[in-house]
Amino acid sequence: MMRWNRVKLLWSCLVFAQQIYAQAEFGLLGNRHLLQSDLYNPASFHVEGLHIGLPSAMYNLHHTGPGYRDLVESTEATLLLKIRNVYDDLKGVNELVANFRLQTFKIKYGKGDWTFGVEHELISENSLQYPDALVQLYIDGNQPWIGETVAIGPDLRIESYHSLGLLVGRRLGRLNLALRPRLLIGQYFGYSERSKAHLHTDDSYYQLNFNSDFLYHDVGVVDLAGGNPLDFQIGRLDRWRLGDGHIGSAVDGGLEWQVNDRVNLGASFTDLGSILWNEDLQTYQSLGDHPYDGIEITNLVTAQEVDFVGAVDTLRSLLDFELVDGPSRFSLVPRYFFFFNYQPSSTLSLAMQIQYNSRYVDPFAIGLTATVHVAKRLHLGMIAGHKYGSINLGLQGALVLPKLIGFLALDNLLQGINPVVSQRFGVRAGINVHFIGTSLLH
Amino acid sequence: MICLHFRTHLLLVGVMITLIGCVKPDDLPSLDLEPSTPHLAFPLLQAQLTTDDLVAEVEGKTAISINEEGVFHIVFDADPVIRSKADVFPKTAFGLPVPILDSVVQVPVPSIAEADIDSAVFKGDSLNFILNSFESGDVTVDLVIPEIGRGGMPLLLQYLIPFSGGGTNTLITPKIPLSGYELSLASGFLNLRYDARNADGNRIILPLSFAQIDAFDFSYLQGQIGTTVFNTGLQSIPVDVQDTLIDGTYQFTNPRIHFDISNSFGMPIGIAAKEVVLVTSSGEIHDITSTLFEDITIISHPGIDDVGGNRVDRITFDRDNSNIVDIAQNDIAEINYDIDIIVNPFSLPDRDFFVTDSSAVRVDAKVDLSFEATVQEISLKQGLQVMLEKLDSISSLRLKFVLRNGMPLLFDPEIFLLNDLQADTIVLTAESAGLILPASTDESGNVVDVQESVIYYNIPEDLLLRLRDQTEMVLALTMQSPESGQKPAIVKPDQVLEVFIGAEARLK
Repeated sequence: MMRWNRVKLLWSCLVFAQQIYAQAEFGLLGNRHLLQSDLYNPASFHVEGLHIGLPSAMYNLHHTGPGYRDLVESTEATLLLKIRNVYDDLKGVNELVANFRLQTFKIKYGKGDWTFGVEHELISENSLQYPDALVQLYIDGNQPWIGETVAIGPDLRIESYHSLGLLVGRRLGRLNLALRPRLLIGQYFGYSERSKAHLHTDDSYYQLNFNSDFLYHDVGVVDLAGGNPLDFQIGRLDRWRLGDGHIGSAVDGGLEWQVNDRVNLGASFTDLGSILWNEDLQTYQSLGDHPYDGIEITNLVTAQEVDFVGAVDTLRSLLDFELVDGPSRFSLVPRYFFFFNYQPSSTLSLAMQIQYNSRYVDPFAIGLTATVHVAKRLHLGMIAGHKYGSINLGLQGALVLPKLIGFLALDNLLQGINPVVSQRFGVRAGINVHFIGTSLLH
Repeated sequence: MICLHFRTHLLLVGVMITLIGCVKPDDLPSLDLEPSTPHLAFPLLQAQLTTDDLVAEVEGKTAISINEEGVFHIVFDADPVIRSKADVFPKTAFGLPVPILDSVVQVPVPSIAEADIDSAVFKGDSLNFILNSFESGDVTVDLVIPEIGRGGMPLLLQYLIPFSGGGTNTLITPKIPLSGYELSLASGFLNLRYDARNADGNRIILPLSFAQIDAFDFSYLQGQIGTTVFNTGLQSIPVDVQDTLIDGTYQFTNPRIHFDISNSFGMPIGIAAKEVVLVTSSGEIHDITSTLFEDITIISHPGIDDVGGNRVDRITFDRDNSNIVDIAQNDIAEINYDIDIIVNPFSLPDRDFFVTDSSAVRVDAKVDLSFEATVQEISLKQGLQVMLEKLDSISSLRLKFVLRNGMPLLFDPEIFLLNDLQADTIVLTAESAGLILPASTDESGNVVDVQESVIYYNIPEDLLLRLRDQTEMVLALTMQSPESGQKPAIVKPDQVLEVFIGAEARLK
């Protein structure tokens, strides 16, 4: 358990990354009768009674390149990033997303037109976009690009924080409204606010010019004490406790309209808010042209020595970052959802979800879910969707016991369900306890 | 029951948070990148070789400068030949005192008369008298020399011959400095007159007395000055090209012998070149033939209103008026010459010719070898200390030399790599001809455009393995003027050979 935790932790922090906010899971979005479905629409699950969500975990991986096992070779002491395997699977703009959400508890109480809830979640969302050239440069060098300019700037966002939410919902006729203000306690943050970097190799005698407009904010993710990204060290990653973080706030909100007995519409937003990363924030900048034309000898006849070692240092210094002052409050990236549910019979429900996240290469995702009550205590669902720019098929299942529901949702069956092999993998599992009122999904 | 479930849940939450909190950095394995073998292209160095650097390298004990045409040149010279006023009008000493036999005495002025001098200014000689009387009392004497004066006033002198008690009374006057006194020589004589009176006021004739003039020496002379010829004798200009310039095969295409003449005499000067010969390092003697031998070259002179001024002129033996380019190789040892300096060569009768004390004719003979040469071969070598141990991480290396040549010289570079023991010399071989082409030039050899050459050196892995033990890189440059050394190259300052070296290296 410890080891798996460590690997996931590292994997989540895989140093580069960018717009991280994963697409929300289709498995939850498509089943409004699950307690956790209100993660993405607070107005969802407006049900009488006391409901307790036991720890529920979600792990989501998306990589345009190889899966974990092909990407990382693990030994006791090191993790070796197998860049060559990435090289073989480049897509132009490449994206790595690794998200981990652990909802430690959730309590929701519904009475009459009101619902109230309290919950805690640990969220780690990490993403990286990197151009082909960054990998090709490492594998092939810049010789193939003599005379050309290539973009090599990675775009990274790593964010980990605790979220304590307080939910209030109100039913107004056929309309459910809900808000969930959240207290955020930030732990780690790495964000390339600007990520332009180009390398030009002149075709004359291969003069180099590193042109950059790169601004990176960091709290504890990497250590660039020397100011050079070639000397980066992963941060200590030892600040996870609730009382040891940066304070922020956010609000989620949503509505649900019961059009008739069979049709239900919903819309919501999440993550409208920000975190003040005011402690330990380091902002690094690389800006402008950084040319290197080789060692300069003013008089070839009288020169006595050529310092190539010094030249290497100069070459490395092209990538030097400078510490600058910058903002310390950074907004979360809000997400927007639209839901359509249709229940043609008591044993079949259909759902469609559309979600939007501006930070993604493919900001829209759409999912269709069909859930069938195959037995009295067993509900199974099929998920089809388009997410991360590709077709997504998933399965979900719920075991309904008196006052207890266990559920499991898997995304990306087309890629297999082995999390260390698949390029895309998503899982959400949890157990909910329902006191008083109904525990029935139907 | 509810409480039981709730407590269980809180316990689970606590376990989760504790687990997360227990992840320590020491538990985290380090993250390494899989090694790769990239093929890198990067600039190695940029260097310059200017003609100034090159000249400083080939320069020996004689300075190389830039001539008035903006071309590097080297000048060899010898001590100047100077003929001054003293050569034309030597100081004339009076050996004996002039006896004063009467109250009027005429004293001839010797050599100056040959020049038919109208006026002169004494330089610094002196005049005094020995005056005698037989009177039994004091005698007063008033002396005047009308030809000597200052500011239009003749020289007037008054003396008293004191009575000495009996016998001959004698007065030896103090010396009178004549410096600055003007001498009028219209008559060709000095007229000395005196008026002597005894104690009663009666005019008397002094017994034998004397006037003593040390010498006639003048700071200024004016009049008609005749022709005087001075022969310099055989003079020599050492030209040590072999010790001065770098070894090689080259021929100067514009050697020149200059005679720079400065004339401050107030009359024309003629220069007659009688003989100029070139002596090689092996002792061979080549006569220089020139049209300049046919005539006397006249040097102008300052006018009467420019006393103290001078006029300069130059007589040059060059490729246009002599055979010098045919005989001047790079092994010139010396140039010998014999010339006449002729004062007033045409015996002009002008009476306003003048000579001052500082008047002189100065002849500076120079051999001027400008860097206009056909170069068949000149070689330069330069060593650089290098550290190539890091080459063991490279599996192949290709060097690209981009050479922008602003010099009118073709360079054939060779690169050697040596180790401390000199035991293993590695020669890098260019992929193609490997020549640095000369800058484009016009017919005269002047640079009109920079020429770019690109040379590649490919260094395979086996050679790289040997290279890493080498500690010195020697660059040998063999230079040649355009068209295989047949066309002259004119080397001027600020001509630059720019060297840019890039590398394509595949890492292991």
